[in-house]
Amino acid sequence: MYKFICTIIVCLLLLIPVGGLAQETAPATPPVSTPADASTPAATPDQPATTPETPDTSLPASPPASLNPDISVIGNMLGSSGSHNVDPSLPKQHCQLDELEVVVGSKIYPGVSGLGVFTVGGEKDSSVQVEEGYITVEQLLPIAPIGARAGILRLPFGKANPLHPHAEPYADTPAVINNLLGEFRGNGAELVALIPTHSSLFLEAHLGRWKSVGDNPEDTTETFGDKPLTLGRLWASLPIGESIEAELGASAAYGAADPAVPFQSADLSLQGVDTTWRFYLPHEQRIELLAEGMQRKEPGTTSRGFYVLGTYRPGHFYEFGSRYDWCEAAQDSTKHESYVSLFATRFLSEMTYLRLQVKSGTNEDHQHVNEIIAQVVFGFGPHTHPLQ
Amino acid sequence: MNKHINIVLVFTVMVCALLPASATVRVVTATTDFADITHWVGGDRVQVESLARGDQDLHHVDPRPSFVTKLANADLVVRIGMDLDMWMDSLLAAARNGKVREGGAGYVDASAGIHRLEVPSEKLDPSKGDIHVYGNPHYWLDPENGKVIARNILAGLKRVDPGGAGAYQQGYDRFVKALDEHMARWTAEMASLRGASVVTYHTTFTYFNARFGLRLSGTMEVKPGIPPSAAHIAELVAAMKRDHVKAVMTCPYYPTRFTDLVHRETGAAILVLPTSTQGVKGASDYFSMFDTIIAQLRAAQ
Repeated sequence: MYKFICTIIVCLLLLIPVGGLAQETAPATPPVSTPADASTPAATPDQPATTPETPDTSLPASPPASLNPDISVIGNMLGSSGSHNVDPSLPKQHCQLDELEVVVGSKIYPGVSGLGVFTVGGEKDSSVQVEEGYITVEQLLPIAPIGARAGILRLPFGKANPLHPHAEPYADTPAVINNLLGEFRGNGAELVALIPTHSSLFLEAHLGRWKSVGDNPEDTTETFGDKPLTLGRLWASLPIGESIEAELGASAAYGAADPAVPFQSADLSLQGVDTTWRFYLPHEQRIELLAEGMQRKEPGTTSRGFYVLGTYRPGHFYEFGSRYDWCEAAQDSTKHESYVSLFATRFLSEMTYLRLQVKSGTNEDHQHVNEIIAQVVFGFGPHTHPLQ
Repeated sequence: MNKHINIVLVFTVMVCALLPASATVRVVTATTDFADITHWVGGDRVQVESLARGDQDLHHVDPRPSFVTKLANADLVVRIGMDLDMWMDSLLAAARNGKVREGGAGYVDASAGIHRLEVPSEKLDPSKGDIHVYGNPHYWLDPENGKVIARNILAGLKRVDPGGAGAYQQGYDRFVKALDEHMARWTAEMASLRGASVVTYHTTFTYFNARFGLRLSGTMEVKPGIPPSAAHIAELVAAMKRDHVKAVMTCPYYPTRFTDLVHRETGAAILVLPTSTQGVKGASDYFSMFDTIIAQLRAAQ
């Protein structure tokens, strides 16, 4: 089955040039203004410049062409303090670089792009890892809105898992993700279809076959050989008026997985649902409500968990939010943990921000825990994310 | 048998009569300005939707899944370009519509052919603020650039619907004629303000000010995208008093805390101006947007 899907994707990839050449193309060179149309602004010598230091109308209309890919660097610094550390991966008492991410991406063919995400784990791990590395084909055939992704990527299971840490609205990881998914990445391929609805309903389906990848891919291969994981996701969204967008998602995965040591399993079944409501208010304000729950089944064990998240963004520079976590332990459903978190973020720019999070609750050992997490994320360079 | 053939023929004619005379071209634009200009050019042959609202900051439009549906069904997409609407990239990728992908027949970058201002010539980094490598992208706020935008839309419509080329050309000609008429009036109205000093919140009105000869005394932002600081405001107030600035040009989506302070310190009028069609009440189309801006500027002087 896995080989069959890969074969189909490869065959369709080979067909791309045929589809691409069949389309009429827009002119590569923009139309040039004719002198008669007076399209040139009046920034002529007889008029004052608007900004004394900046307008330089003598420069060419376009910067020189370049073959450089988009390169961005994002650093995630974390520090935490409290009665008990809830997340053992968080650095204690002092702030340190948790992860440095280097992203290199480019279009590599019309409708085809490539992306590499390399991470260095700060003090925990100084080795460079391939966090993600994949190609995306937007449309396999001109007649159908079906694309594909192939390579190593954060698996599209639910809302939180595909997000990079710096793109999350909180500093830590929800307990349900830590306990039931871990670092849920895969090496393989998937088909992504935008299902035509002839209405404003957005409906997207993912179906892929993956070999699960944890922190150390070699361990996974040794444990499970080439046993694959099949993952599907259906994601629907409907606008309600101009100001509300409601989303509903369902995900399921079956097979061998190594979400993170020690939770690897050769016979895993995961199901998840998520819903997101976004309210767009005047003056760039936004409220987002999100709930995500999932169930993990292994022979002899079934564990469940969820989180509920609410954020309010009063403008471009601040965001405030709260999250409630409840989750059973992955391999002992008689134990559970629950936390309430409050967090505030100050954005200096789109990719650089400061965040403070306060977390309180009960851990799996029924101990009351309090924790303060400080986060500094800095970034530079062109950086975009797939629609999530 | 003949009776059956007749029934089939009548049914076929009825179905054909119910179908539109010509298929409507579905156009999705990044902004309300482009939607309005597309209406001028495309007339009844187009059905237009804008992704961004008129009162939104176009730097920060939240990509929504429902936008993907619109782009997936579009025959033509008109985007701002110059890296202002990078939020459209993920939407276009998710839409999986080869027609409107960059290079496709239905892809229009409205900035093509624009004479760009504030194109940076030095090495860029985030310490210089939110600088756009292709230059200041608020080009539609020079009304003359409306013609370039319209011409780009015209070319796109002709590509995706060659049968309507004549109608589109007529629509374009009508738009240019109307714009020229408005432009003559706006130029006369703004003549008395030529050389006047103004302050803007962001570098939004660079093209407008260049067109009508307004001089920029400073910006509320320390640098593009970097919010005001107390020290910067103190310097700005001094510059405004020196330059006799009577108006601060801001937008509906910027905070009023610092502009109110500047108003108290200098007495300058705070003008909340539309930056897009439907950006404020009264700016219902591309032309009335400039009417609104010019009326407020004249009232402030």
